[in-house]
Parts: sequence; C-alpha cells; structure tokens
Amino acid sequence: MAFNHNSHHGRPIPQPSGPIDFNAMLARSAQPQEDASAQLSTSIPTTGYEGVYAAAPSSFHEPSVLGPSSSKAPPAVLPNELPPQAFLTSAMLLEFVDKKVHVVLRDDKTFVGVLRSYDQYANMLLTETVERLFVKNPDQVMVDGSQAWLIADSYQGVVTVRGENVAVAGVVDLDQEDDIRHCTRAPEEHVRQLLAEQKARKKAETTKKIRAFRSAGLEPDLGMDG
Amino acid sequence: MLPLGILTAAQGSPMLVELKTGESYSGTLITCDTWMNLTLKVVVETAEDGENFMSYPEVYIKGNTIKYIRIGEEIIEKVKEQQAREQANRGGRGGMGGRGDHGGRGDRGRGMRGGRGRGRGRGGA
Repeated sequence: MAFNHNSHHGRPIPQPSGPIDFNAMLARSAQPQEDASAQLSTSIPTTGYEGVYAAAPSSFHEPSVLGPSSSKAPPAVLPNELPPQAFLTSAMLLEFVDKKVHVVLRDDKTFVGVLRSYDQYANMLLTETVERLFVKNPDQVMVDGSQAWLIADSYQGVVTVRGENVAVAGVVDLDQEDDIRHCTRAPEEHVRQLLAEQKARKKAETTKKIRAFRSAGLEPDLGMDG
Repeated sequence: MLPLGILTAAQGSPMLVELKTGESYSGTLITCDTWMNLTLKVVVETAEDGENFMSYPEVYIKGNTIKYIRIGEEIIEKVKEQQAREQANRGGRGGMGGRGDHGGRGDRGRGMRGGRGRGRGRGGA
C-alpha cells in the first residue's frame, strides 16, 4: 500500500503515481508542521502549562473518552434510591457485621463464618468459621448432564482474612442455607479424597498440556506449572 | 475491635498463617505491626502439598504475603476482657466504645483526649 499520510488537518493528499518522489513526500510532510507552528506562535502563550494543555490540534473535535464535561449529564448508572457511598467497602460490609457471611477467596477457597469486624482494606475477622469444600459428585449426574456437587465443612474457628485475597463476600440466607441447590453434604474425608483425586487429575492434564506446548516450540502459559 | 487489633491482642498466642503461595506457618506470635508483618516463634512450616514440613525457631512473615490467619477461639474472650478493663480504666467515660468500633478508621475516641490536632492523628505506629 502506498504511504498514506492522512494528516489530522484532513487535507487529501495526492497519491504519487509512478516512481515514488521522495523529495515531494518530504515537502508534504514538512508542510503541516509549518502550519502547526504558525498556529502555535499566534494563539498559544509560550510559558506556563496552558501552552501544553492548549497545544492539541484545534481541528480535533471528537468527544473525549471520559465523556462530555459540561454539556450533558452522564447517564445514571446507580439506582436512584442508593447513594453512591453505599458501594464503598465500608458501607457494604457494615451491613454484614454479626451476620453469617460467605467469603470466597481469590484462590477459590470458601469460608463461611460470622463477620465480627473489618477495616478499610476489607480485612475480615470471622468467628465460628468453616471452610466449605466443594467437589463434583461422581455418582450423581443432573438431568441436563451436569454433575451435582458434594459439599463438606471443615471447622476453622477464628479466621482473619487479609482483604486483598477476598473475591466475593455476601450474607448467607439462613432460610435457604440448609438446602443448597444441587449440593449434597458428605463426610469431610470423602470430599477431601475426591478433591485430591481431582487435583491429581488436573495436574496430570496440565503436565501433558505443557509437554504439548513445549514440543510445539511454545512457552507454556502462566499458571500452568505442573 | 479491628482485625489488626485482634492480631495485636493475639501476641503470645499460637496461630496458623497461610501465605498466598499456599505454605502455612504455625507458631506463636511474638509481634505484629500495622502492615500485618509478623514474627512467629517455634514454627512449623507446612508445604503447599500438605505433606512436607520444616521447623524453625523463629520466622518473619511480610504482611503482604499473607492469605489468612487462624487464631484460637480464646482470643475473642481475651479481647472482651481487655476492652472491659480499658473501659473501667477510663472511669465510666467509655460509653462511646460499645458497638460502634467497627467504623473502619480506628481513630475513634481521639477527640476525648483533646490536644491532638486533626492533621497529626495518624503519625505514630
């Protein structure tokens, strides 16, 4: 494709026909710069930061990515009845205090406990905590072909979770918690054993994948450490 | 009582610290600071697989590597007693302690002592 210097002044540039004339190209590329410097010298003060801010080309009228600043109000994202402050960590967690809370960590660990206190980093103090273990139930297949889950709780007591590891936290509905959909309670050792088997399977799979990647001359993905 | 306050109160108690990497360290807390950096003594490290162990007389754990900490149940009672003592020491003026202490700032009650100006309250460790 020919060199298409589509300058922001929007002037159409005649395409060179035949052999490329480098001298003409040089002249063309120098031209808009002269224009710009002429504008600069007339309209923009040479000292202070105003010069920097105003230096954007005057023909650039596209709307800012951040949205119009004054002409139109940004569309309302939040429901009217909730003030925006309700979405700060502190305001959210304040309602969870002394309630049974389900906390999912970034590494998929899940704690269920009573939230006793928290701080501005979402560090949480949970008491009477259990770690909830989930594993696909090998013996029960749902009607739609997906597998049901086996769950077990492992008692942990008082747990302080460091806030940066929290992915999700929510209050447990006490009316529904005894009958979690598609989940059956099982003895902890059984679930742990299934989890270990699942982990071993996954590891073997990853090792295989890594070998395939390496043999194809590719470096395996991050997190694919087998 | 804030989570870090509980940790401070747990100095001298046994605890289990799991790191983000999956290793866990079980030992007795010597000290902690406001960044959750810890020093533990008489420590047993459990590797991520849960099958390999190491023991150390003392370890330092940088706070930002921690995933979660398990503390003994008795810490709650201990903290309750401590708070009751503190309230008694304040001579009945401690009504503001109560239940409003999970406000997320940890600077409540500063105003009562007077003297400290607004901009300097968080200076000390």
